[in-house]
Formats: sequence, C-alpha cells, structure tokens
Amino acid sequence: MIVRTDDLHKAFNRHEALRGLSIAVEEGSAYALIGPNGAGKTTTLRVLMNILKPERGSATVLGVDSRRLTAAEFSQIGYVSENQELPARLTVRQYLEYLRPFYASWDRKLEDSILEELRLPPDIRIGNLSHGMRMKAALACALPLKPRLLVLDEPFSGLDALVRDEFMERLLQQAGEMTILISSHELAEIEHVATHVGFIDQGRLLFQDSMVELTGRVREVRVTLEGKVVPPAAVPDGWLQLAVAGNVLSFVDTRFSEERLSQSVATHFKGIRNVDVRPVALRSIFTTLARTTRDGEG
Amino acid sequence: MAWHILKKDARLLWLAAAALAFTHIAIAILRSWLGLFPHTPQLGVLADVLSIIALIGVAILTLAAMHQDAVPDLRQDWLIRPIKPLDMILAKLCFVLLLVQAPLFIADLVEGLLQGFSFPAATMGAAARNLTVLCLFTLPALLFGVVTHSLTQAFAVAAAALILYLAVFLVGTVMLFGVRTSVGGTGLAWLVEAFWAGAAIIGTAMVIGLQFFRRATTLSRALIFAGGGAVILSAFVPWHLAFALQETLAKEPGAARPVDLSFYPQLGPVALPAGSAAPRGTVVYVPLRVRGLPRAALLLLDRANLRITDRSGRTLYEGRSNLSVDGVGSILDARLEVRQQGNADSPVYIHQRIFLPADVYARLRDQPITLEVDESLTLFRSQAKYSLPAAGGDVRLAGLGRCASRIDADGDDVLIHCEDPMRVPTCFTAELEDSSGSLRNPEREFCDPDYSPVQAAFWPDTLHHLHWGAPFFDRAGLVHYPVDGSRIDGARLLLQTYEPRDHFTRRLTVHDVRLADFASPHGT
Repeated sequence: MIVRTDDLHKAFNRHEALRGLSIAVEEGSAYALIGPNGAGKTTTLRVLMNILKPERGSATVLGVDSRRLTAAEFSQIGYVSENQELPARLTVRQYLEYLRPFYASWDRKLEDSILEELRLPPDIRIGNLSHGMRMKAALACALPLKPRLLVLDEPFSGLDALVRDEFMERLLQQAGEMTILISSHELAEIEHVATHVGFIDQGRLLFQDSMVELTGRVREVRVTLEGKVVPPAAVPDGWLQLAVAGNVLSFVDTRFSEERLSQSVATHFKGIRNVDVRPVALRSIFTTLARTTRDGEG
Repeated sequence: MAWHILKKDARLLWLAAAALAFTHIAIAILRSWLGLFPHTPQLGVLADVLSIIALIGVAILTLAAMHQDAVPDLRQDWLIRPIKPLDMILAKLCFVLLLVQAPLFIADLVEGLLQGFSFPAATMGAAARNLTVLCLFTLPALLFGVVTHSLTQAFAVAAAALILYLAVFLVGTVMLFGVRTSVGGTGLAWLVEAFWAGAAIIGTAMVIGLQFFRRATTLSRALIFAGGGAVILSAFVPWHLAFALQETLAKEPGAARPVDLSFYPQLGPVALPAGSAAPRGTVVYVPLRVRGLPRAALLLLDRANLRITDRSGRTLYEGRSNLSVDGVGSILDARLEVRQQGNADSPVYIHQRIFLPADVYARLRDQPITLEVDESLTLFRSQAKYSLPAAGGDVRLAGLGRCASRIDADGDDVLIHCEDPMRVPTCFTAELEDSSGSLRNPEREFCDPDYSPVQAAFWPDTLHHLHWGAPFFDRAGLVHYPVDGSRIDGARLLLQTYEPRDHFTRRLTVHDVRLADFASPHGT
C-alpha cells in the first residue's frame, strides 16, 4: 500500500475530526475519499502530508510514517488543495522556476505542455489569478515533477465547468502513471478517474471498495406488483431508501446480485409484475449512503 | 537550496529591503551633514524620527521574510515541498543578515567614516550597534515571525504582549504596589539588557529549531511567553546576585580593598546651607568617615540596604535606603558620592543620606536602635583630562571622540556635544577656565554610571553621545560666575573623566543610636 492509515485520531479542541480512521490505498490506484462536509477528508490528507499531527494511530505514506516524511518522500509527492497558498507575488513562471531545482524528476517539457494545455498565463502574479486559474497553477506545479503519489484535496471546489474539464483532462493524461488520492464533493468528476472509493463520515470510514465492485453491487431497483405494496416487516440487508408509491416499491440495493435480488423479492412479495434494475451513479450512491448514515438507517 | 530560497525571498521583498537600506543610508548622510549641533534643528528631529521608523522597518522586514514561508500556517505550499528544514532556516538567517542587518552595518560604517572616525573605530561601532539591533529588534521579530503566519497576526500578538506588559508590569507592579526594579537607574542596568540579548539569542535558536524541525507552534509560543516573562522579571534580579556578578567583572579587582567606611559621630549633624529647601521625604544623615580612598578617586554608592534592629536584635525595619519608599525622591536624591581631592589616604568626611518611610521614622525616631547598612560601592579612578574651547570648538580627543562646543541660544550656557563610535565617559567633572588660566567657575559634575564592558546603543545612531551644559551667566543676577560672559572669549572647558575600576561591598554598623540624632536641621 502506498498510503495506509490505522486507527487514526485527530481532534481540534473538543471536536474529534478523525475517530479511528483506517484506509488503504494501493499503488497505481486512484482512490477517491468521499464524504459529507466535515467528515474529515481534508484533515486526513493533512495528516498524511504531515501538515497536521495525529493524536493516535498511524499513517504511512510511501512506506514512511507521515510524521517522519522528509524531502526524499516529498520529492515524489504532488499536492493540490483548494486551500493551498501559493506565493501571491510571484508569477506562475517564477514559481515554477523556483520549484524546479527541488525535484530531480522535474520534466521541463511536461511543464511547458501543461502550461499550454491549461492555458495558464505564465507572467501574471499568482495573487492576481482567479480561483480557477490558481487551482490550475497548483496542478501545474504538481504534475511536472511526475509524482509517484498525487494528493488532491477538493480540487474542483469553486471551479466552473470549463475549468473542471481542462483540469480533469490534464489529470487523466497522467492518471495511469501515478497513484492518485483525491477528496472531493464533485462525484461526477471523480467517477471518471477513481478506481477505488472510501466513504468517510464523522471521522470514520464507513466503507472502502473498488469502483468496479461498488458500482457492481449497488443498484436502483423498482418492483412493480399486481396489487398494492405492503413493505416487508424485516427489510433485507442492503436495501436502503425504501419508497412505496401505489403498487411500485423502489429502493437501493447495496448488496446487489441478480440471484440474491430475485430470491429476496420472491420471498417478500407476491404477484410480481416487473422488476426493473438500473446501475447507480457514484453521486447517487454517495447521497444514498450519506442520507442513510445521517438518518441512522445504516 | 538555502541560497535558492533566499533568492526567492529577495525577489519578493527586494523593494522593501531597498527602501529600508536607502533609509539607513539617508539617515547616516543626514546626520553627518548636520554635524554635532544641527544648523536646522528640525532636520535633527527628522533624522531621529527616521531612525525610529528604520528600526521598526528592520522588525517588519524580518517578519515579512519569515512569513514568506510561514510555519504555523496549514495552507503554505512549502510545507509539502521537498525543502529541508535546515535549508529553510539558513535561507531565513541569511536574509536577515544580508538584507536586514548588512545595510544597517554599511550605513553605520559610512556615518562613522563621514564623521571622520578611523575605519577600525567606525567598523567596531557599527558592529556593536548591529549586534544590539540584532538582539533587541531583529531576533524578537524573527521569533514573532516564526510563530505567526501574517503581519496582522504578528502585530496583534505584539500589541497584546505590550498591553499585558503595561498592565501587569508597569501599572500593576510598579505603580500600584511600588515595586522597583533592582538594577534600573544604576550602573548595573546593562546586566538586564545583556540578559535580554542572551535570551533573544537562545530563545531564537530554540524556537527556530522547534518550529522548523517539529512544527511545535503551541510549545514555541509557550516558550516565547515564558521567555518574555523571564525577560521582564530579570529587571527584579536580586541585587546581591547582580552586584556579585559585577564584582567579578571589575577592571581592577582589589583596588578598593583599602577603602574603609566607618560611623563618625564627631562630624556632628549635617549642616545644610542657610536657605536650603526642606528635603523631600523622610531623611536622616549618618556621619561617615571614608579612609583609604586613592588620590583623585571617586567613590559612588550604587545601593544601600538598611536594617534597623532593637537592642535584642529584633528587626524593626528593613529596606532599601538610597531610594525613597514613599514615592518621593529618587535614587539620585540619595546618591552618595565621595571624592578624594586631597592626598591619597587622607580621610574624607561625609553625611550619607538615608531615606525612610515616614511611619517608620515616626515610630522609631526616639528609641535606641542599631543601624546596619549594607553598602554596594564602586571605586572610580581619574581616567583622563581634556581641555577644549568653550565656544566654537570642534576637536578630536582620544577617549572622548569628536567634541564640539558652543554658547547656547540664550547666551548663558556653554554646551558641549561629544560623540564616539565606541564609548563616551559616563562620569566626569567640568570647569570653565578663562583664557589666562587664572579664573575658574565652580566645578560641576555629572555621573550616569554604566559599568558595561561594551557600551551598547541602537538609537538614534551608531555613535555614543555625550551632551552637557555649563552655565556662566545667571539672568536673575543671583549667581555671579568668575568666568562670565565678558571672559567667555578664549575660555576653555576642562573635563576630568572617571572610569569604574572596582566594585565592592561594606557593612556599616552603628550601635545604640537614635534616628532623631541624624535628622536634618529642617526636621523630618
């Protein structure tokens, strides 16, 4: 694992931001850390980058305890955050010139192509750039070093659609060459890049899975009966957000398999007219799980 | 990589650094042009104000350099870059030395040279001031800079610290409770300043290490808070400890060994001149005989601690006697100065003034007591004699530096202003002598002792200054000077300087006396 946390705890005064978080990111994967606001995503990434120190538990990055990360490890890590403060009085070009000597792996040609593709004005002071441009500048300062691990903290926050596309396009070009750890609310964007997803809430990991398995095991199901639906007294495991409208029952099955669903539906209902099963977008998976967690259904 | 980081900071702050360097140089040139007695006093004031602004600029530029790569901030980009803490520390220190301190040093050197001092003297003077500014301004600013993330935050913290200091120390301690600093106003005051400098150097080293290697901001801030408290409390260092340290640093240890102080009742009560104003506060005058004082020496009392006991040895009062505890009078009021003007070893007789709280005096005045006075004293020896024209003089005198004299605008005082890159005398006597050498005005003395091994000055400039005035004409007509306005042409000012050679203590014990016996003729 290129990133691993075990029983990670971090508190700010009385607020526990992380409560025993354990995640594992495989090398070469694109791991999306998702969760509602205040779930602890940014805190997790800051602990991993040794910007914050955990109270308890451990975090390793590139096989090194995050508290002992040195220049040797940081030379293999790219970090882009919506809160990142780049030197406002330097131009993009000046800052890239400043950064180059710190990285042995810095690719000058890649830097030029990134500047061109992202359409970044190199001679304008970073402080005078718009938020979107600053985010692109941050990405332009992270990709040319050809990082082994790229950490992105809410990179799409506040970006318009065009900038998001440009940002994602550029990211996807290098996605296969590195491990990406990304936290974001923009699940539609993440869906294109993530191979794994971890869902955290209130500082705890609720689940982590590969996207293939996650999207494979979550389905939106509509069961149409001959007569009026009477919801089962004991809801089968994994059925969330049950809704009844006349003779139609809809729910999200988070443990989907065709065989299991058929058996469950047949067991609980008579006079089945139709069973409609549809794949669920990551956004819907996230909102379903988030609501369930919030409402204490899970 | 330190050099690389330094270049980045210089690129970002070059304008501020250049403006500050220009200000230093402008001040140096302005001061040199104005001379010892500015022909346009307003420009002298401007130079003084600019000096304050420049010192504030030193602190702000240092803060700004630290904030380019703020340590406590969670959002700073450098935190996730492969930058070694040691490189960052070196870069910041180099910035401070090259872009903050070096321009000041160069400007001070230029000023020293423009004022006509030799290169070594100007260099030493500039280096001494540079070190003082480093310890008192730059390093504290660096400390604030390394535990804050913006100028606004640093100013807020500094303002809070200042308010806390004023509230707790000045108002709470000194004004409400009458607690006085132990060495303030004495020649030992430099010890506190030296402690500050040491605390700044050690504190900076510790906090920089903690911040850049461990990013322990809370601990660093706590250390700075504790260090600040220690710096404030250092002004209350126990006197005997401070004086013992000063004794070890004496230039001529043992020189005062023959000096003896004893109670000498035969001298009788003090006889103040007719018409003298009543003394401020409750004062008694103890007759003393001083023996063993070398010729042309000066004995100065730095502090006296008084203990009054009854016949059974029970302490009735204990306190500091050369300082009014009622808030009236001052250290200067009760200073004891003994000068040997006769042959060596001739005894000198003098009354030592001792301040007492009014209620203590009222309670004990008529009862038999034992008086114990622990005297902390410094022996000064005559250092050098100088002679310079009383008016229109502009001379260079070894040990005194460059000195100019003139008659003041009122036409009743001779003013002198001396300056030197290394040090100026802090104790001297002066006489005005007419051109024939036959008439002299009464001798005047000045002593503001400073026992520091190296005089430290940071304002207004790199030079140490001595300003002094001697009257020769009384417009009210009450005093007539032998060398008056009619003889001032060609008159000369004779200066005799004194240097501290040895520091020592003596205990004076007087048995079975009454305080009333030592009262002044005015009563107390």
